[in-house]
Amino acid sequence: MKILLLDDDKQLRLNLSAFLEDEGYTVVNAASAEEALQMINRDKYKVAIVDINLPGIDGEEFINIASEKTPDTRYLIHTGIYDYKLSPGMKSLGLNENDLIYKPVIDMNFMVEKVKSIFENK
Amino acid sequence: MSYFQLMEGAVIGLYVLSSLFSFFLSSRNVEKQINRIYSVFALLMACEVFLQNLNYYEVSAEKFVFYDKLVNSCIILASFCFILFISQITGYKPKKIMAGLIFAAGFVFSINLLLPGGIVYKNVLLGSDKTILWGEIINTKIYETTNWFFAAMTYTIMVFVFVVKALISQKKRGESQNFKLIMIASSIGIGGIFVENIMLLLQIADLMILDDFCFLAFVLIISHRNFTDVFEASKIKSSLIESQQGNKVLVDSMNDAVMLWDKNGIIQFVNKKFCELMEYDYNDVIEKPAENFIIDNELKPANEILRNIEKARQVEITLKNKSGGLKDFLVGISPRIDGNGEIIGSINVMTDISERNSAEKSLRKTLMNFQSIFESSPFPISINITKNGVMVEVNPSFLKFFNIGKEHVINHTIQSFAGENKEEAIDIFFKKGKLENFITTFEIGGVKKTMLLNSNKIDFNDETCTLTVFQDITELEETKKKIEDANLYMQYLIDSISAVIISVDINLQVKFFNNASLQYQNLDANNSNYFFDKFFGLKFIQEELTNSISKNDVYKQTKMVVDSEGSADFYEISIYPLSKVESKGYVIMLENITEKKKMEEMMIQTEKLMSISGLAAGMAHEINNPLGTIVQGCHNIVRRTSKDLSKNLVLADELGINFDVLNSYFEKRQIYEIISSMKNAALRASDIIQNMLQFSRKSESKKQEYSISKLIDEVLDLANSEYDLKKKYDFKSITVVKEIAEDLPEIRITVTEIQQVLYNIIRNAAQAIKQENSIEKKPTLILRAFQEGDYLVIEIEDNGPGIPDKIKNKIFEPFFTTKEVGEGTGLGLSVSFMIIKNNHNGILNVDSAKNCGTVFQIKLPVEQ
Repeated sequence: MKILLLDDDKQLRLNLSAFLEDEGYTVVNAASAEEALQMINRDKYKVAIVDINLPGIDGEEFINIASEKTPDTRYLIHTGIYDYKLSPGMKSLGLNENDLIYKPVIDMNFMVEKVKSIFENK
Repeated sequence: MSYFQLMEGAVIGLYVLSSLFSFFLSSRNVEKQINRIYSVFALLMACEVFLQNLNYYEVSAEKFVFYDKLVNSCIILASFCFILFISQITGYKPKKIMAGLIFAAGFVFSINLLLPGGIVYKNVLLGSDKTILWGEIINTKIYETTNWFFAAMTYTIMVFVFVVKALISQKKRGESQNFKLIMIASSIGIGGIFVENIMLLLQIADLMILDDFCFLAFVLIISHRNFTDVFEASKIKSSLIESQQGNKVLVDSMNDAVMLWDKNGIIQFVNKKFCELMEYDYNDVIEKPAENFIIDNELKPANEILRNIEKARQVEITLKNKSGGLKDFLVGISPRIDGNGEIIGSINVMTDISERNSAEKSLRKTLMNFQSIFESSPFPISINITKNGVMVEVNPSFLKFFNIGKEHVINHTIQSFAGENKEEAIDIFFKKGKLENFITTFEIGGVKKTMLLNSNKIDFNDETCTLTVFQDITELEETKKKIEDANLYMQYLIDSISAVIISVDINLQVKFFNNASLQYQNLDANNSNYFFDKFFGLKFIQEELTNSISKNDVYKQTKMVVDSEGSADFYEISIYPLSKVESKGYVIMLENITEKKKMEEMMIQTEKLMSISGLAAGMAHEINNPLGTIVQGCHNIVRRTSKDLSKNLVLADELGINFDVLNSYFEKRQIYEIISSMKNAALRASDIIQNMLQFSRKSESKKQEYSISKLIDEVLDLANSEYDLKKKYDFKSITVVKEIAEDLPEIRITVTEIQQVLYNIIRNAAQAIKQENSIEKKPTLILRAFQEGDYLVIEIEDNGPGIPDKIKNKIFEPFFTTKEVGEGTGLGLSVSFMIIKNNHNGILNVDSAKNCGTVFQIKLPVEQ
């Protein structure tokens, strides 16, 4: 039940991981893609919630790299770019519109539902 | 003295008187010859009567015969005179007959002399006395006539025949004035002799005196004629004197010169005109030889002219006048004949033809001029026979222009050298012979030339010809066309300008106006060309025009004109004085800029919103995260202080906190409410961000063909289902009227956006109606949709309180709201504006007046 939460916003990570932990998940935070990649090397995550706008390697790049290492990990893209659309690269990795969550997530249950469905579909 | 003797004496006397009278006349030159002959004749007759008288009383036969011989001789001589007399009077002078008659007379006369008893008597016996008329006693004579007597009778008949023939010939010539007279006289005279002699011959009676009386009648008649002639002659003479004076006046006043010369060519008379023309005085000329004045000419020697005057004729002569100038005259020469029919000179009527001659000279000169013009004219000129178009003459310019040799033109028709160019015009101008400014084209050396032709009929070599002047107006025509084009171009240009353009002269008479002006034209202006009559609709610029005229300066200003219904229009008025062109006046330009002004405002609005949209996109990302944090933080706080989460209870137990007490503390201190308000505030901020993002959102990919009427229904459904919890409005209490035109085309729109716009407006309208607390007014919302030109128009009209003027300009401003804080974002209309304007190339308008409700108008282009 491990979730990797990759976001450069500390406050956001705090609140989101708090909520998900309250739901019973183990949430590991990463402030950058580089950090997250190291974590992937050390551990396996069923779900990774990834921000797109990141310092250094951006979210899409991270997914590209990470999906090679851990093909089983499912990704949810959590972005503040209001007009973000899935790139063809992302689509080829199996991502679809359902895997897109725009910020701000007003009702966090909405995100929990998405995460829950991934775990249940296992 | 017996009666008989008295009678015979009277007869003799009358004969003598008649003879003397005629002699007297002949000496006065009246019918000199005739009167002389007649005088002898009458004398002979007097002798004859006298001798005969002697015979009546004669008792000696020998003496009787002697006297009778003398009587007959007298008669024969008288008859000879009579013949001459008749010949003279009648003008009948056949030589052979005359000779025959003279011969016959001579013969009878000789026989009369030679025979012992004369021509009458062979044998005479004196008889007894005999009483005749008036009781006169005379001797009777018994006699036997000679055989020659018949010759005498024949002679008498010959004379009579001659007289008849002479008179007939005279009558044939038409001179019948003496015919009857002579005829009667001769018939009585000769008839008397004839009858008496017949009676004598047949011895029926011896009247003796009959012939005398008969001849007396003849004498009386002839004397009467001669007397009348004398009388008339004197009358003629006096009238001649009169007419000579009259003639002089007449001749003097004649426009022709008159000159009389005698047969030696000496001038006897000239008239005033002659003196005037020749500059001589009358006395300078009179009695001078005409030769002195006539210029000798080889063809017409003066001598010949002067002498040859027998026949009337006309000659041209040249005279030299006093100052040496030459004058040409056409002279009618007529012979002057005196009473005896002799030519005594000539009368010459002379017409001055110097001018005519000089006119002829100038004509010749004109012809020379024509020739030189023809030859040197820069314009091609041709002369052709009118009826068949065959060329007879062309000038060098013609040959040069058509680039052709003369031999290929003369005796050819124009078709033969105009090449392929068989214009109908050629026929027209050659057959008709008269053209005025006829324009046609010739193709010369492959180049089309526009030609202006002028032709006219002339007489050339005694044939009706057509003279045609060709003028190459190709360049002229091109220039003309270019100017016309330019004018047309200008006209189109000016007509295509939506502004009113009118030019007037200094008296404000309209000179020109463009299409845009027509809408202001006053059709009832009664053809008045005065600016404010013709364009009554522009009366409102009177002040400006007067102003500009007084300053004679360019005037430019925007003017607001409020019409009777209270709606304001804006006009941009420009008045330019035309001071530098020849026809002074003013150009008035006027443009209704109301729409433009609206558009401008809209543009400013759009500009504003666009700048916000750029800002919003950047802001959204940065603000969303903190907003998310606030919302999620609130969420987390509420969850982590809730009993529902087991983890909370576990941790509270560990820390020895009574969770119920904590909860009731929170409630009492309104912690949850505070958190909730924080959350709401964040949510509202998020809402604003979301709305702001709409300004720059590109929705192209989502556009689809959609029915507006369907869309309206959907929005109305949505509005109906949304029931404001705070009861700010109750849509169901509003009467909705739909006026949707049928057959509206589907248009390409982003459905959700237009839905949003419509929903925004409808909701605003519903809220506005709610504000109106009037019971009388039934809240009504009218929805219209119709097509107007290239636009599909949706109108949303409410009967609410309307939009106050002072905020009308602000309603599309972002963050402007009349609603309470927290109730509206102030972005609804501005977002709607952007959706319509930016995303759909449409127009969003509002029209509102206080207490009259509001009409929102959405115009969407039918084809995008």
